[in-house]
Amino acid sequence: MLQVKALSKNFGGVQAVKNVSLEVNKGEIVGLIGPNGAGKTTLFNMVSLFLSSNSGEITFLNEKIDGSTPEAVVKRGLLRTFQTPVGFPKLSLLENLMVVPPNEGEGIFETFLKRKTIVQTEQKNYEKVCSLLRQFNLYDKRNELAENLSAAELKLLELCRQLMADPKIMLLDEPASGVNPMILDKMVDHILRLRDEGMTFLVIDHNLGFIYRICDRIYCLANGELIASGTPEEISNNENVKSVYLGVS
Amino acid sequence: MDILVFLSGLIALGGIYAMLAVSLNVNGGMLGLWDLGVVGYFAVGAYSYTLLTHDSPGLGMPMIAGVIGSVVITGLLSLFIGYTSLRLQSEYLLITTFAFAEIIRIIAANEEWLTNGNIGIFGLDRPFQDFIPGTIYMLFFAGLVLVVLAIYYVFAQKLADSPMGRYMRAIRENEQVTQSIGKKIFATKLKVFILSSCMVGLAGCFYVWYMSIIAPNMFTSAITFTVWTALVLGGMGNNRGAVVGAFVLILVQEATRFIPVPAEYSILLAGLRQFISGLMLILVLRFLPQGLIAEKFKSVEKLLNFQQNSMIIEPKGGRRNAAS
Repeated sequence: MLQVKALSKNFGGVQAVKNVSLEVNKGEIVGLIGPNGAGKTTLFNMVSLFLSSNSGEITFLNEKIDGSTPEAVVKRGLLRTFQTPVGFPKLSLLENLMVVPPNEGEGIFETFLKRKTIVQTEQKNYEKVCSLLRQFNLYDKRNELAENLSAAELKLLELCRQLMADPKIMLLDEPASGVNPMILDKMVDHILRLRDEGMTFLVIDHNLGFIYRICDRIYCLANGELIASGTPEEISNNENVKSVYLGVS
Repeated sequence: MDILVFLSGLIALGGIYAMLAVSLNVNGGMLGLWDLGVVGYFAVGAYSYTLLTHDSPGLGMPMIAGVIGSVVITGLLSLFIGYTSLRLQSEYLLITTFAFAEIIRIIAANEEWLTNGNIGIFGLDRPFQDFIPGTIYMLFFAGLVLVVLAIYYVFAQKLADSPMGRYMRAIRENEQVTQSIGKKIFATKLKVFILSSCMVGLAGCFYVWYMSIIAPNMFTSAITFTVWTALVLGGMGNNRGAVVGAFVLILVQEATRFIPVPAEYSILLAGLRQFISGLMLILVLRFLPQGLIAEKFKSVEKLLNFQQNSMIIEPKGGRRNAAS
């Protein structure tokens, strides 16, 4: 579904990502781990086209997407989350989600000329948002401002926001950081449920327990290079991974 | 009668500033663009109106054509300014728009063949001045300003309550996330920027009518700062706040005229105005950081009167609700 071939990125003299290739198939949950500064987020930024790559190729649904724009890849179904889940602090949960679907009313003239269509679209989106919020147990807080949510709830909201855009693959950047164990269990359930419904995931996280629990395959990055890949079992026994994570050799 | 004329003049001036503040709120408050070029579009609106309607220098066109023309010209200019500078973020945008405003003022001061330079153009016509006696003209004009201000307000408020308003606030809150859900931010910014500039340009026509002269020194950056101060005083992102802030600021500034002091101190008193608006700004920022009227959160459910098909009745008062 998503193929990354020999992707590289330099920031000045720093090679943040060196010649990384990876592949995500439909219906898989793929993990991306590595110590701080390994280049995981940079890789995400390039795949979601927030950053341009220096060399390499990104293919999504059998089409090359590098050189395209972030908006265009979102339209094709590639969604990403951010490490710091701030969302839109001064917007309510409802608004946070209702802003997502493409809306004809989002224009200056449209606001005054297409009132009827706007109300219809809004009603439709509203129903969708409400059912999504129910699934994630956030419905009671729908009129709360996002800034009043806890970090864990914000992570869930972030997941909801991406789901509103009808993604085919979701790139999650540290969905488990700052999430308490109880909500983490729920997060795992949500991700696994979505996978069973046909969603594909690429997940960055430092919580290896979490990664081992959900992932089918894992890639490990260190200093911008791919050092290992395989099933959770293979990765947990891999000497290279142990040495970069734990400093033992 | 004199006091009435003075008061209506005050209301007209306050109203013009309120129009500016509402326009600025559209891109500064709701969209979060740090635009310090307000006075630039104001000047372009005023000058293009004057040059279209005045005989010489100018084209001597009818007043309504001048008004429409000034809005169009301001829009075109802001298209150029916006296209070149809107990719910049916060402080960089601020400094760029500020520079554009200064360029416009300096051009107005130096292109003497076009604008009559620093001397300016005097004795400009006002709308309906032939039908209304000069003594009560200000009264009529204040009414006209208030009517247009009301239109501005309703327009901006409708925009704020619409999906477009929500989208604009989303861009203000977090540009990156807005981009990550597939929105074309730059195009939106440009559109709103042009809209706001056109609104400022129209306000420029009113300023010309109010002053009945036009000269480059009417368009110093002080106007930009006054409008921003008014907006911050009243409450960013809130149209009601913008209007209230503008009137409060103008009234307080003009009230310094009534402090009884000997003539030799009157120049010092003029400096006091700046001091007072600065003091008000600091006090508001310290004690009411959201402004006199904070931006209000309106629930989508209330705005569009939504009913969920499967409504769940919730116990009242159990949860702190930001909507109430």
